[in-house]
Amino acid sequence: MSKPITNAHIHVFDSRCAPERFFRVLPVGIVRRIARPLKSVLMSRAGTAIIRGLSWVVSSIHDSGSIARFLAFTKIGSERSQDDVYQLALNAGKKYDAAIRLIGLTLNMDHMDSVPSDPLNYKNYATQLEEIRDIKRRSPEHFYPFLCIDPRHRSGRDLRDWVEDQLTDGFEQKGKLYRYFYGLKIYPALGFFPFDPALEEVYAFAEEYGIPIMTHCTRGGSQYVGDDIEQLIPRDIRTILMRPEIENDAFLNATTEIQARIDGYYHNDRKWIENSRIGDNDKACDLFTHPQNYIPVLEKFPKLKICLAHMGGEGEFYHTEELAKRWEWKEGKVRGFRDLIKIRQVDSVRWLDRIRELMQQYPSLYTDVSYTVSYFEKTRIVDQLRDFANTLDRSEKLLGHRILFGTDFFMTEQEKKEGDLYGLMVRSEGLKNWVDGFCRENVEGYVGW
Amino acid sequence: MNLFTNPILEISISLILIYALLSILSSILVEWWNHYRKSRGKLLQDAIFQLLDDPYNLSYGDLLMNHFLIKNLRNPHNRRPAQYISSNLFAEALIDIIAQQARHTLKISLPKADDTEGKIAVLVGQQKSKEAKQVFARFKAGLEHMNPSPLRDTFFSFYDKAEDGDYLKLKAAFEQWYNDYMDRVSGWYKTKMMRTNMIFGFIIAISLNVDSIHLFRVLSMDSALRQEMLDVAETAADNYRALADSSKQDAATLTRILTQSVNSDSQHVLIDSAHANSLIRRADTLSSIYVSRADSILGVAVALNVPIGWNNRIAPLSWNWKAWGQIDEHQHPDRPGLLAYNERRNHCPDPLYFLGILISGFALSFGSPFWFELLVKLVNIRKSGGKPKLEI
Repeated sequence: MSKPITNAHIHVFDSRCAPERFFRVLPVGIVRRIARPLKSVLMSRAGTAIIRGLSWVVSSIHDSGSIARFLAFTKIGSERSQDDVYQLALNAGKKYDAAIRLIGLTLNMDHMDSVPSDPLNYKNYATQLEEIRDIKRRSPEHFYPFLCIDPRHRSGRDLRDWVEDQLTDGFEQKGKLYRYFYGLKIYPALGFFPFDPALEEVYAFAEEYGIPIMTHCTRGGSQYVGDDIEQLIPRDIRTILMRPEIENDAFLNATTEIQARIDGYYHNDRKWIENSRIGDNDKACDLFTHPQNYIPVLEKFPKLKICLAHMGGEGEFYHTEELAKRWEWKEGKVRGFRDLIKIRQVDSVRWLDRIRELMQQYPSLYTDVSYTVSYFEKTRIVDQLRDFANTLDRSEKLLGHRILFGTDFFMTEQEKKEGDLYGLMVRSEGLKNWVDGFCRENVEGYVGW
Repeated sequence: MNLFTNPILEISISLILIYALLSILSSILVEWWNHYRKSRGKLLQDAIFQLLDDPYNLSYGDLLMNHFLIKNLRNPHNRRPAQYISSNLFAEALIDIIAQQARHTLKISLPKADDTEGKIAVLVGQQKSKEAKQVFARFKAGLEHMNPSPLRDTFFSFYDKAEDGDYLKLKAAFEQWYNDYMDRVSGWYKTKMMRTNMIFGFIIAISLNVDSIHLFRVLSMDSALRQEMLDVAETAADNYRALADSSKQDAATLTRILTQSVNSDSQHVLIDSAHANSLIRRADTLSSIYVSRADSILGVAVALNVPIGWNNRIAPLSWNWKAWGQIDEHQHPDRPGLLAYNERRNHCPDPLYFLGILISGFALSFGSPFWFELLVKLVNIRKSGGKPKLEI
């Protein structure tokens, strides 16, 4: 009997897990100024209906993809509880495999903003985890949560001990033992670098016990929305840099480029790292998620299993000139796209190519097709993904054995229905030789099942 | 001058009847607004979040509202939060949540990455004492699992007071705590409702053009209208007195009292108006009830010829010079004083109009029970004065 399908990338947090000013992630100045009341409005049914209507009108005039995506987030996120959100994901997955396994990624949003949220409107991370444990107890065969870590929450030995405590916590049901958490999740765009030395002990622990780490690797996405971004990005990267025992060329080159990028962002014509009263941090937060940031980590912990999720995002399947041409008519109108073009002009190597190179170099590195799977109708995307999968690493093994299937539920709802994403993956003609690998087999080595 | 036959008393009673009438309309709108906004449920939810706020531990408010015992009190269709949570349910759910924290006692060792036989998890520690299965003991274990905090100290004090592991005593302590807190929440709700009443009072005063100064003047000049009002006021006061205390706050009951107090022919015209029916058809079932009640109240107002409402022949729309020619100068041919007053008011902009609207807004915010109580008192005074003296 074949192994069950595993969706390696879903989220089940609800709207109360997001801080009050969460909607500052939308790259629209007016929205950022009213982020707090906007969340209250969007969490109500009437508010959602009104904004949906408006977005429909806007979308008929020009592309409002980012707005629509966040409205989709709002719709599902405003479900009653994390359990309700989980049930939506489970029901969609079960249509394709009754034994579906879902890897649920928790997200610590306690440090996403510089201003704490009112407890009347925000559920802290500890509570999010308590609810996640409840879901795991109710659905032990299907749900496999990952524990989100953040160096601002705990650090060093304290973080390592906390992670060990959480990962060894478990329960017995019908004669079987289950752990509550099966891996770790890091989301650097929320305001930290993955090479932060505060994470060193936990990486060592994860490497020793083969604990998988899922990260986020796209330009954009959810990000730090506080007012004081400059304090999170030191001008001299060496002050927060994890160092391997031997500082080889790969490490030195990577850190030099990272430093140069930060210098460039600080000294650009219009500063890209600048404290802002409206949390205008889009470009700065891309620094946190850059694939190169994992080189210092992997040089120090070469066996650490890290999954660079999303393969850089759909935009990274295109070259900068193609993007500029494709979005030419939008440039100057929608700031998100304008920013992306500017960033790509400075940091022109596609993240897709960077991830490919990294995976060739480091055998414990994985990637997943989450969110990108929404674009599997495009031949161009599927062709490039197939080429990626058929690339050999240093030990002559195909990279395709380290690509996982995931959907990024429920961020993808506006692009496609969750069920449709499974369909796009399992029925993909261009990837038919890889479907079982992506969906059923590769995850075994990653999670250690 | 005899106080009991003084027109001032009659004018006051008539004016109070109008305020009582329109206050009911305000109450209906407030009730509908609360229903639409889920105000009661939201306030309860916020109050519970505040009660259980503990920055050192979990968001117990969230856990409580999502607890199985509480979650299912919500309306499954519109996600309307529970409007009422009994102290019994609150205590049961909260004790369970605290006790659940003690369940993380099973430790499973992690296999090392290079451990070929490490795929099978090994049980390294499990506390399965008989005591831990008891709720009281699990509650204590749950408390010990919490970080020190004022909330934890409070729970510990409840635990200490429940001597000899008596679960019922522990639960009673939680119930008492919740009930005491809910008394305060009721006070907050009343304050909130006063603000809402004031807003809707002003909305009605403006939308129905209720100018108290104008009402006073018309009532002082129009004795026929005053007499009609007095008849209705007396019937309404009698009906109100006969009500049970619990029904005196109910807008539906007060609506019924007033509609019964006026001439049945005249109310029929308005209750069955085509406009109201079309509104009812469009509204959902519950909204249609509110529309129907509001329509009944407006029906009474029209049946009594209360001088309110918008028309381009009366102030303030008539102050627009284009509308002057349309003013009906034969409105009250039999009452020349009233005619002159109306002419003057409708032709010349009067700053007192705005004061009149302001007075009406404030008056309507007091709520219908206040005006009904006052109405009963004044009607009693008038009736007592009207009795003939016995000659011996």
